[in-house]
Amino acid sequence: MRLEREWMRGAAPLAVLTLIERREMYGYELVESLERDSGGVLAMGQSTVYPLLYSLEGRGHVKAVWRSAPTGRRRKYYEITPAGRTWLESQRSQWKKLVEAMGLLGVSDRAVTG
Amino acid sequence: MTGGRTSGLPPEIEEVIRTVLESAALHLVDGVEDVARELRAHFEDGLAAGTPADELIASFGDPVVAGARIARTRPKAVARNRGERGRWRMPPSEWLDEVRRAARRLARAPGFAFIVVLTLALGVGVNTAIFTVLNAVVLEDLPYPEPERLVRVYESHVDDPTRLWFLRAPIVSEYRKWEEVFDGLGSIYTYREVGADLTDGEQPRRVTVVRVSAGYFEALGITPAQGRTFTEDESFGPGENVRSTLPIVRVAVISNRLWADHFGGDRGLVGSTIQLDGSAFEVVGVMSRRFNNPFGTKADVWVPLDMRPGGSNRFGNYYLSVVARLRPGLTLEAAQERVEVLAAGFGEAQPDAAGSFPRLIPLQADVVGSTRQTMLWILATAAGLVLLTACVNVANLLFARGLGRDRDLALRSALGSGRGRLIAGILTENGLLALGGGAAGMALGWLGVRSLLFVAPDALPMAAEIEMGGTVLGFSFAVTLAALLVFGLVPALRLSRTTPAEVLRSGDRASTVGRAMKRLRDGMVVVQIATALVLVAGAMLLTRSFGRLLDVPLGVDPEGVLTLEVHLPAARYADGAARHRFHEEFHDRVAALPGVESVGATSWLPVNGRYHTWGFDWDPEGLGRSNRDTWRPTDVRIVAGDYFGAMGIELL
Repeated sequence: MRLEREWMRGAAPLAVLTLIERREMYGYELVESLERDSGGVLAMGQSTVYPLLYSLEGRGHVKAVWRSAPTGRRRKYYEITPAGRTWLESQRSQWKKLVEAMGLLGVSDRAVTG
Repeated sequence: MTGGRTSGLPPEIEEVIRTVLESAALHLVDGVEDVARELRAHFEDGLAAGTPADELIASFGDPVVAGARIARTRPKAVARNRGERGRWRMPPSEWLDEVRRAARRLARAPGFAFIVVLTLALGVGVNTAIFTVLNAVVLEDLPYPEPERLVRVYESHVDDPTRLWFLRAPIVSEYRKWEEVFDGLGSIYTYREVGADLTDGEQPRRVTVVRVSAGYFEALGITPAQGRTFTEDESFGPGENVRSTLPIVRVAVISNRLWADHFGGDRGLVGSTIQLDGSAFEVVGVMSRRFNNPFGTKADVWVPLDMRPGGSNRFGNYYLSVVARLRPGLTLEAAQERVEVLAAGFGEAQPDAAGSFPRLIPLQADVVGSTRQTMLWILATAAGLVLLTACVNVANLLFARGLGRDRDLALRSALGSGRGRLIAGILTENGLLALGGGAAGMALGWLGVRSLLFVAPDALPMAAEIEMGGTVLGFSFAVTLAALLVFGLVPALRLSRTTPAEVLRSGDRASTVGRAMKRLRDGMVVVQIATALVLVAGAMLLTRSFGRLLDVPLGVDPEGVLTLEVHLPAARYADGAARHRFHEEFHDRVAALPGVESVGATSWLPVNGRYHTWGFDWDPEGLGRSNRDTWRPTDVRIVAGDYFGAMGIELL
């Protein structure tokens, strides 16, 4: 199942930053990981992922460094910054609140069973 | 724009990357190479993982959309990496650089800078001047402690409560006892200050003497800088009044100005005597520097007013102006209610006071007057419109200059200046202009106030209080800043949105003027014309009213008439006979002067406001009868010589 555009817009930065928080990644890894770890729900076209990375970089939430990957090729790695971590925390707690609230309304239950 | 290094990627993938980069229209400074490398690495990884090229291209998404998104996000990332953290967070040295660059740019366009500064200076100057006056006269409290408790007291009568009278001494003596309402009450002799010759010191000096009762300074909450004010006995002491112009005791409080100018700030002056019109007065106090009478004029010397009954202090003599301080916590309405009850009681006991009651008017309102207040607000509105016109003018100038700078800005942008940086640059330039305009405006405003006070020193109440303080400077600063932000930011935002490639590619300078911008500029022109029209119409109406005012027949013909005031010192002209002799001789001598057609004298020149309201009995039914119904109040002037001839007054 693919999410609608509006849902993706809200979820994508949170998802990308969550992955980068676990460990630093380069673009291809991130694309793969997003698809794999989210069961395909959060799979994003690269036309979205790279601009999103630049946007996070512009806001100072991630930092990019070129260095050698285990394959020996040079790759551009993205790592989370302290500002990014703070932002992620706040996003996460808001996300939790939303899920809770939706749960209270019975939205998430139905979503799970349905 | 493929980024130099050729790779082993299939041509269809290279095509995708090229489309992305072209759609993004990035420059070298935006790290176009970096993006190209990253995208290539992505596809290499995909191919290495065994994904076919067409699948990789399909999962990439629309390259044009990707390009557009990268165009939006990439420059910000680059700017941050360069250390441009946010729009305004530049280190001071970089701001200084901006200021220097802005100054250089302005120096290259001196005509533009001059016009903008001049326009702003006019707008800010007019507003500063008007606000200075408005602030001192209307907005700021009167310069007395707890001014909201101060009231001007008039006498009114139940028969015609709209009419306000000056007060009668016996009535004032009664009001003073109403301590449940008044925390202090003092009166001032209404019929203008009196001139006197001060003959101490090296040169005689003409000084202004004002008679006030004991309690006057106290009601205003003023303590003298040195010595004391007047005691109860000096106004209300034992004995009877003969003439209200004769003090019970010859004591005087002098103004700080007189003390400093004439007596050289002599600390030992209090307790010594000075000669006023040949009589010795003991100086008992020196007023504080800031003190001014709330009504009447500036005084050099205050002497105690004889408030004892008898003489001039009859029930028929309405001649006192009274100021009082209400008890703390007492509202004006409650006080008014209370005094009306008290007055009714007094009227029962005292037939001459029957029907009379005090009317309390807040001192501030009494001093400023509602008409003048309205006039000042109208003036302030007009000044605001002038500023608006000036600002729109300046904004238009900034726009026009901005259009000429499109290429410059595009170049700076192409060379790596972020949008924030460009806005900072433009605003710094505008800031310098505003600073210049603001400073010149304040100077202009100061000059305006000075000349206003010079031309019409008596036109405004509390004129002595009119000065440019912190409030006024703050106001001017705020006005300038607002003008800069509102009228400088719009062009700045627009200009910074310039797409460098477009401007640089096209030779046409005005290529980026969009339809929205045109509408905005047209709108500004409309606003400008509208405000100008309002101002011109207002100015024309004012001029016409003024012209009409000049055409109002005065009843006198001021053409070729010279006037002068004569004050005779009481010591040298002690009795009526002496004064009469002087006036006769004076009249004859003036009449003998060549070119003099007629000579006359009067107690008070016409068209100079109300002076001496007296009255007469007029009862056609029974001549000689006198009662309240037949009494007609009127202005009384005493004339001598050929006064009517000299003034061109025709008798009916």
